[in-house]
Amino acid sequence: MSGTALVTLRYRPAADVLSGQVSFGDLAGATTETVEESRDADTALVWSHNRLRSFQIVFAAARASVGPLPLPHSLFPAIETLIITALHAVDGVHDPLVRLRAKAEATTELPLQSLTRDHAPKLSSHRQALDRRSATQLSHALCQLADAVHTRVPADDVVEALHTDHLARLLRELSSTIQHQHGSTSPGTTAAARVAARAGDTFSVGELATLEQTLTALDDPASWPSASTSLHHLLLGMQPPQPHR
Amino acid sequence: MTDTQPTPRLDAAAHDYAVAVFREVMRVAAAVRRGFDAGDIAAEISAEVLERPESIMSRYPDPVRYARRRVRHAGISHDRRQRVQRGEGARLYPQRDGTLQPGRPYLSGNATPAAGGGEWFSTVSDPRGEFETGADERMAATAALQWCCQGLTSTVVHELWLVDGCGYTVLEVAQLCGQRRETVSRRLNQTRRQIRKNHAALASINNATSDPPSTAGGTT
Repeated sequence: MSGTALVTLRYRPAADVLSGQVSFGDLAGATTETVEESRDADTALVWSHNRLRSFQIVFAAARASVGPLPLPHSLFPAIETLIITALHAVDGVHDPLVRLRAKAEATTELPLQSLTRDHAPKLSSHRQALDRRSATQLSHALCQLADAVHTRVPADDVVEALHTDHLARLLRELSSTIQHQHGSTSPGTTAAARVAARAGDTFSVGELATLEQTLTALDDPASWPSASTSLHHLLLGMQPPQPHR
Repeated sequence: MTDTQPTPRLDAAAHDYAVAVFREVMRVAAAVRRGFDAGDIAAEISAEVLERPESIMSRYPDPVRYARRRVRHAGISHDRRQRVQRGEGARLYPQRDGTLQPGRPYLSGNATPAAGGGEWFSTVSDPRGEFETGADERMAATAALQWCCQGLTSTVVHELWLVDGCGYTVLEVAQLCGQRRETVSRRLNQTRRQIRKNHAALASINNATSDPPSTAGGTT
C-alpha cells in the first residue's frame, strides 16, 4: 500500500525520554485495534496492522550512542536531529525546573512502508519466571555496587564527585527498575550507566571493562547468570584492602 | 530546625532524583496511556519534586518507588483537570498529528510556568499553514468581537477575557479586583448575556445582508 504517515516526535532532554505518535490520516489503521509491545522496561511500542502507531523510549540519547534504537530505521535521521537540537538548546540553561519542563517537538512525513514492524523475539513464560527469580538477586547486587561506587567519591574534586554521584544514582535506578519491572531488562539505563562510567575516573581500566561486560550482559535475560558472576567479581575487587594485623 | 545549604552535589542529587521520577512515571504510564499524556503527567510530578526535594528524598530515598506511588493519583488529577477545562469551554481541537489539544494555552489548573516560561522552547512548525487565510480569519474575528463588545466597559471585558480567554477562575479574578466572588460572577453573567445579545444581532445582520459589519467602535 502506498501513502505517507505523519510522525510527531517529542523529546524531553532533561529526562532523555523520546516519544512519538504516528498519524495515518484517513487510512483505516487509525481506528482499528492496536497491539502493544514492551520489549523491555525502557521501550513501549504500539502497532496497528503491523505499522508503528506510537512509541516511547526512555534514555533515548544514551541508547542511540551505544547502538540503534528499536524503531524503524526511517525515523533515525529525524530523531537524531531532534535529540541533538534539544540537548544543544538546554546546554546553557541552569534553572532545573526549566530544564525539566523543556521539550522539543518535530514532525516528519514518511512512507507507510517504512514504518512496518520487524518481528521481535518473544520470551517463553518459563524463561520469564526464571528472570523474576534472578531479578531480585541482580537488583541487590547492583545496589551493593552503587554503594561501593559511592565510597569512591573524591572529597577534593567537585567535578569528579558529581560524575561519581551520577553513576551511583544510575546504578540504583537500574537496580530499582529491574526489581520493579519483574525481570524485564532495562537497556536504556544500562546504556546511560555505561556512558556515565566512561565519563568519570571512578573505575580503573580493568574495572571499567568488567562493568561494561556486566552491563551488556544485563541487556539479555539469558546472560543474567554471567552478569551476576561479573558483578560479584567487581564488588570483590572494589572492596578496600584489609589492614594487616 | 536545620537549614540545608545548597551545594552543587545536593542540587545535582535533586535534579537526578526528579528526572529519575520522570522516567519511571513514563515507564509506568506508557502501559495504560496513549498519546503524550504520560509526559505531561511525568512533568507535573517531577516539578513537584523540585519544589520540595529534600522532604521527598528523605521520605522516599528510591525515586522509582516514589514515582510508582504518585503516578496513579497524578493520572486521576490530570484526567479530572482535563474534564474541568473542557467544562469551562476549553475546546479541544484536532491537531495535524491526530491528537487533541486545547485551543488556548493557559487554562485553570495548569501548572504555573517557571521563570522564563514553562514550555519555553519548541521546534514545532507547520510549514504548510496558509498565512493569508489565517490573517483574514483573524481580521474577521476581531471585527465580530468588537461588534459583540459594544456597550460594555473595558473593565468587564477584561474580566471576561481573564476568565474565558486566559483560564483564570472567577475567584482569582475577584481577588485581583478586590471584590467578592459573587459580585464578579454576577457581572460576568451580565456581560455574557450582553455579548450573546450583540452576537445574535450581528448574526441577523449577516443573514440579512451577507456582508460583514462595519467595525463599530467597541470598548476593548
